[in-house]
Amino acid sequence: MPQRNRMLPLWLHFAVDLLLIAFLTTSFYYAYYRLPRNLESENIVINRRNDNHPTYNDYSSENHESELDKDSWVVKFADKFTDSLISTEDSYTSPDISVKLTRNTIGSGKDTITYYLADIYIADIECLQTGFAKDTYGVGYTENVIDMHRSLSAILAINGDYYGNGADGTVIRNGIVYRTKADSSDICVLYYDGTMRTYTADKFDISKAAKDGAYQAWSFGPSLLDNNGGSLTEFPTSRRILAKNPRTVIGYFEPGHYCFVLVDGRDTGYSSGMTMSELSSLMSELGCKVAYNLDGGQTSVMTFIDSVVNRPYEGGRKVSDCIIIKERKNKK
Amino acid sequence: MKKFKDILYNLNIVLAGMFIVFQILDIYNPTMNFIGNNVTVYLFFAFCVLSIVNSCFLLVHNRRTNR
Repeated sequence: MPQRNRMLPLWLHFAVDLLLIAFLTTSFYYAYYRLPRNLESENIVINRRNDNHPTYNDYSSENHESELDKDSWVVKFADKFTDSLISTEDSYTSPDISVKLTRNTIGSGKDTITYYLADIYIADIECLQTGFAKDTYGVGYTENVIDMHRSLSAILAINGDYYGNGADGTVIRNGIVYRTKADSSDICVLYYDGTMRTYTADKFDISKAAKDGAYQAWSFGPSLLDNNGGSLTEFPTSRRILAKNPRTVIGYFEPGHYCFVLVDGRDTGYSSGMTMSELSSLMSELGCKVAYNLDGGQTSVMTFIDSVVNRPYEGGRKVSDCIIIKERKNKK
Repeated sequence: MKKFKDILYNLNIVLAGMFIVFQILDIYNPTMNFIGNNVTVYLFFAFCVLSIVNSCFLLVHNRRTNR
């Protein structure tokens, strides 16, 4: 009598397939997004030229105000800086930096929103820098913002655009171009001359940005304001991202004057978060000319002096990069 | 041959399932770009090829059955 071929029951076939789907998807996620691996950097250096900031002069106790260009940020924002370092719980001033931190609450009950505004004046563009987790450009390298804050000797820090979440998206940090391959997100560029501009992916020209003296570039978005600094109501992103969430924003008023905004969320009664429209309205009300949304949700963290300022959702998460304010290393 | 075909059919189901998961993940976190990254582009190509091969097997089988 011939032996009958044993066949697996159909349900077992499908069960094995489902298990394989789960296993392979999870394995791919960890291998592609979590396992540390260095990314190949394009390593194009954009040097700071004198004409990127034609009106800047170094300031030291030996310089006299009369020798300083009247348009330099030191003179322009003289009332914001102090001759010596003064640090309090919610402010930091020095000859080169002024940071004023305020905690703001709007609404009440379950609609309460709490946000932190760091109003920043700097005497030199290099007081605003960016840092990589573990000081490494790559995927899978992550660190808490507070740890990066400390290792970089920062005064103020926020999370960045989490560039390490993928292999696409323009990355320019501290004058070095790491990645030119754009994705579909809006790009924010901070130039050596202190100006900040945002671009849609199709309108961004990396060569022109480099020629114009790009100093930092982030890829996350969206851009929150129109060309006149007015608020927007429509954004090119998913419904989930548009909903109320914790937010991190970098804002620009004029060269030398910026702000970091951190909105807490997912914590009813303390802060429910902001929709993208609400965020846009806030940045417009603050008077920003440019405002750019960075990675939010559990990623949103702001640190000041030596501690976390906000209440990150579920304690926050480790991130691949940060934006910091710090004293310049060498003053001429 | 039958076992080989079985493997191809299951592989097709697995790849399709993976792309459904990627699509859902992309809705939740579009910045991670699960569907359009360097690796999944090749996986999608493999999925398309497998779909064509399996459809061919099915067409041939149907024709033989109908004779």
